[in-house]
Amino acid sequence: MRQYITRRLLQMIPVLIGVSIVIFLIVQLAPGDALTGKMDKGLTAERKQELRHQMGLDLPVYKQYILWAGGVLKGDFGESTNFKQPVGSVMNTYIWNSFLLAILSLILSVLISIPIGVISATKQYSKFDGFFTIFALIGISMPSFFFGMLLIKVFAVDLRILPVTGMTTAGSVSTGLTYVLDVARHMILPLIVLTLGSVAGLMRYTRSSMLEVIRQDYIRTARAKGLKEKVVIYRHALRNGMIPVITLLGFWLPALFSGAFITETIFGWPGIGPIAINAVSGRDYPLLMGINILFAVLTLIGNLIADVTYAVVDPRIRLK
Amino acid sequence: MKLEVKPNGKDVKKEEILSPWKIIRKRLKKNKLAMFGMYILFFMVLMSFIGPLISPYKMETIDLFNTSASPSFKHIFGTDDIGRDVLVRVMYGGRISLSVGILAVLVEVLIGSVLGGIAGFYGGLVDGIIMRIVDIFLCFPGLPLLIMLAAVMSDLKVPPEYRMYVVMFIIGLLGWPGLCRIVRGQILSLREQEFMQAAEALGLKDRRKIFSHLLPNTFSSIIVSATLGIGGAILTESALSFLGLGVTPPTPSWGQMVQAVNNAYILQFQPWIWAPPGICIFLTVMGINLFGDGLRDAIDPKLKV
Amino acid sequence: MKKKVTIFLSLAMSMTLLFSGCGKSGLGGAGKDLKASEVMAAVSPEKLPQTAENRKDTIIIGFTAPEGKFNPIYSSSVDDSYVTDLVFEGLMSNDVQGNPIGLVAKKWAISEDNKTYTFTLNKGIKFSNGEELTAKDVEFTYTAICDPKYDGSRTDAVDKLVGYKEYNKGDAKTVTGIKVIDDYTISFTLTDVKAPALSSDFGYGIMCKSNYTFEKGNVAKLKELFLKPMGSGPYLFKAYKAGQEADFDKNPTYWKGEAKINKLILKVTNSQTMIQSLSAGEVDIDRVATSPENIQMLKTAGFVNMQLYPQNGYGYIGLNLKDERLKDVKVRQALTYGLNRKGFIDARYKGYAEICNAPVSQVSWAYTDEITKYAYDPVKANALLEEAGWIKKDDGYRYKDGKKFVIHWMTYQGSKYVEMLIPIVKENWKAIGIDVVPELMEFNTLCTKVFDEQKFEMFNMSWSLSIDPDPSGIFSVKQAELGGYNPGNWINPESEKLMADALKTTDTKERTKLYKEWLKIFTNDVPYILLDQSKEMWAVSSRVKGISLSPYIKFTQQIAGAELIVPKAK
Repeated sequence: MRQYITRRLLQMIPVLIGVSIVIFLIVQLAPGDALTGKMDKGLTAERKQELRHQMGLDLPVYKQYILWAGGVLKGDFGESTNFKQPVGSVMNTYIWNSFLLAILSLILSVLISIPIGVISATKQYSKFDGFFTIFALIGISMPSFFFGMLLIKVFAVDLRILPVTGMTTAGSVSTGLTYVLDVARHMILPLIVLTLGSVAGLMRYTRSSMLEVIRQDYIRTARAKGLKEKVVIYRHALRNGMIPVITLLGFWLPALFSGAFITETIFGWPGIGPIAINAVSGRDYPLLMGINILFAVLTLIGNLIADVTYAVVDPRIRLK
Repeated sequence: MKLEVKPNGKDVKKEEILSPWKIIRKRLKKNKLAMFGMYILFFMVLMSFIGPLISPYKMETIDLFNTSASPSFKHIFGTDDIGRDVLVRVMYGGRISLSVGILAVLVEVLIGSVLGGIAGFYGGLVDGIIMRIVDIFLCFPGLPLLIMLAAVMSDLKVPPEYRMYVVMFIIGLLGWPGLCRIVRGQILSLREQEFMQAAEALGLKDRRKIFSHLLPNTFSSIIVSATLGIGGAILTESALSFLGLGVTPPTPSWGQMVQAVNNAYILQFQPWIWAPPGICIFLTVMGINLFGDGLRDAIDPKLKV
Repeated sequence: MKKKVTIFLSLAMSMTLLFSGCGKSGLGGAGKDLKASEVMAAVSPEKLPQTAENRKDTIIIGFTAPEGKFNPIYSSSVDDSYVTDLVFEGLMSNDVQGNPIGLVAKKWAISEDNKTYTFTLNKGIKFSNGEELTAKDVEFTYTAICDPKYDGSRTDAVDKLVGYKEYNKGDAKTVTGIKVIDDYTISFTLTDVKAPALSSDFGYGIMCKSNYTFEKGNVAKLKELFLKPMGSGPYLFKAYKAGQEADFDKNPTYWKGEAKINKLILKVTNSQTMIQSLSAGEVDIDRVATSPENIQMLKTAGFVNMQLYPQNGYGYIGLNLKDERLKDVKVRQALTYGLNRKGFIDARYKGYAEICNAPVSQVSWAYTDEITKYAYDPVKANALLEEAGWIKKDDGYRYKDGKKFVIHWMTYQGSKYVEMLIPIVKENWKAIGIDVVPELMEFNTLCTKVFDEQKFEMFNMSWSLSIDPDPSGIFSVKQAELGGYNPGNWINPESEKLMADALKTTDTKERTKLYKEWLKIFTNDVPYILLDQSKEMWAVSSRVKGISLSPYIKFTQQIAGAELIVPKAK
């Protein structure tokens, strides 16, 4: 196992290098650069060329990559062209807000969907199953902005019990518990929207996977042995039923830090989602690369964790 | 195929031996929910592809004197903000959304399950290489990539009609790693089971082992993934419309029409503009899921019907 | 959708930055009647939500997420500039008519040769760190823009200064054109006469030298202070929560007397939920997209005043005059006659816009009515095309030398404006025999193709203008180079001369005459098909008194005198 993990960690390095090159190329492929869309009278064609030279944008692509990579190795991700601040500090400002929403959403999703998925499987076709199936279907067929707008209309405008947008009440300087409560209050609606989207999918996967497992022979044997149904399901069936679910959770790590663009935009949540999207339209190369590399690293680690967890959960799996 | 059993002179019992596909079909037919799902899908497809031929309106005809009209006999679903008939646009929208959803999922399922099967079965170096490729694909950020792709396509002068399909192909390409990992995970576990030892003892070729024995056992995950995937693809198209990168107007798609909900006034006072496409998405996703569930149940040999 | 339009407008509005807020103008002149400003008073002012009432000493104003470049020489978005306008003050500002008035400068004088501007500063203006604002701070601010490593967008304010090149590209220690005469007097000498200078170049906020100083070339130091702006303006920067809000306290040592409203918050709002925020009383002032639906919803809320005024800008269709077919002025005129612009405006704006007939705002002193106006006239359009040699064939389209008249129209995605315009243009021009093929693309891609590469036939966009009507930034020959703002390559020697002459004199009467001539030439030549001039709308809660917006006045210019009241029923 240790060997396997070490080997995987070492493999990450060439993968990361490859990914960074490909992303750099794609980003450069999109026409225009950081200065193209700026229609400022003070930015004449001449001035733009001057600035391009200053920012190194007129160098051939491979040179730009080498410069960037060189900086990264020294820990310098460059300066964001939009914000004119170091990439690291820009990302740091926004990413934790996304993380907060994402991790609470993850915890809630798991806590809600797995039990419901399991019960749905054991009671297939019952009213319980039917109700939650419809519920899940609504969750996966509604775009997040749809829910978001509806919730805002009902709770913030009509009932006025929750705020419309933002992470804290404007102008508040609260600290400690008051602050936490304030953020919590602002978090309720975006959290509902985010969780709804993922609960539905997770619930379906769990249910389906559990249905498969329950029909296996060894479950029948366990029952025949006289074990209590609860033990049968939760000690025996669950572990094997969880394999597809674990795969999904491996995807969560990068998702925790990538921000839910639509939800964050509608609720005015200061996360990294809208920042990343603006970075694309604004061709903010340094910021884009920073965000993408972070995403790549987290993806690789997340996959590794998922793979290791497989082996832990199912002793039949031998990772070669 | 009928097998006649002729014991010594007595009456023969004729038992029909059915092929697996026939068994599946029979079981499906018995599953009312699944059939209901299938009928919904038929209806959607029919409506989208035949409907516009019957409608007196074209999807792009504007009528500036009759904008945002509420439903009436003239326009069953009313008109949108530049006077286009909503019903006919919902029908055309179905064409895009349905084909887009299916195309993306097809790409995803085909590539994902095959590669996942191979990786899970062979393990070792093959597994390592395929999984690293999967990792690389997973590292690409979806939305930024699509935006850049859209920009590149504009640059290359890809005709607008084809652009949507290229985008959906790419969404499928972005989605296959997910399915691949799920399938591979399951196969890692399945390949150690006894039936695989039996297959080994029988000397079956690898290809047969993977495609006839292992993969069918992963169908339930594949089906769930596919059904979720179609809904997901339709919604991704909607998210792209949010960014202005979806289908190019005046072509409608359900995802793009549902965008209207972002305008508080339309949300509250003009539901005929966004509710029909939203309901269509919901019904389609529901139909696919019901049918998918039924299909999975029908395929499962252990389910006694 | 509104979101994209708002973003786009913000992009287009970056033009406004250089020109708005800080005084720009033509002197005196025909004080244009700005009665075009309209106020829809709140019907039931007392319906103010409790949340708003409880907030007795704080005003909340909505804006879009700023980038955090809170520095007067770097701010490049409208939102960043709100922050800098509250915290910093410049030498000049402007009045309702757009005429320049002194702010930090008590008085100013222009030399005989029109090349030197001498400013006398007011005494006793204090930065919030206690120091007095003197000429050395002004010198520092403008020298910073000249810095070789300066990478902001204000260089056009200083590149005509004497000694700029020597400082920017060479080893000079100072910019010779900037002279500190004494503590309260400073002069700027230009190499050439630049008429708009007074209104466009001298409005940028003054930075405190001791706080912001840096060695030549080390702009990184300035950037470190972006998020801690400190100036002499009516409000002190207190806190910034990225992506959410910027908080301000009134400046107790503000030289004009402290503001009446103690606290001010700029809060991030988005187009989807802006109206809801206003209706719930969470936000007191915000700029709302002008549409009957929004007006309807705000009227329902009851306590919101709506202030409308004509936009200082316009939407247009740009044509590539290098194209064989579009070279011919008859064709261009035909296209304009053949487009039902009024129909489009009525559908899109439902009364809250006007047809644009000249590339200047109707409230500008340079505007004149004596121009060719192209009322919708398909008969005339057809006739002109026939004259130009384009003959209609049986399929309804026009042909010349065997080629069909097909125009490829490049435009941007994600805009309701464009979505509405497309079918109208297609239909209208089909009727006169022209096939239009729209190509939608991402905005940056469009900019690359149109401006950087000039590979296009037709495109559409909009301009946001400065107070000074000088059009050379868009239409001069220089701008016809790759990357410039005249991608259609409209090169007309008469136009060139008129624009140049108008720049060389600061006499507004003289300039008015020249621009009148210029407008006549422009509207005859039709390098652009001008579309619309819409109205901008600001929603102002009934509890806010003293804010009255107009084309040349932003809320930051009035906020120091505004106050919060308890609104009474009508």
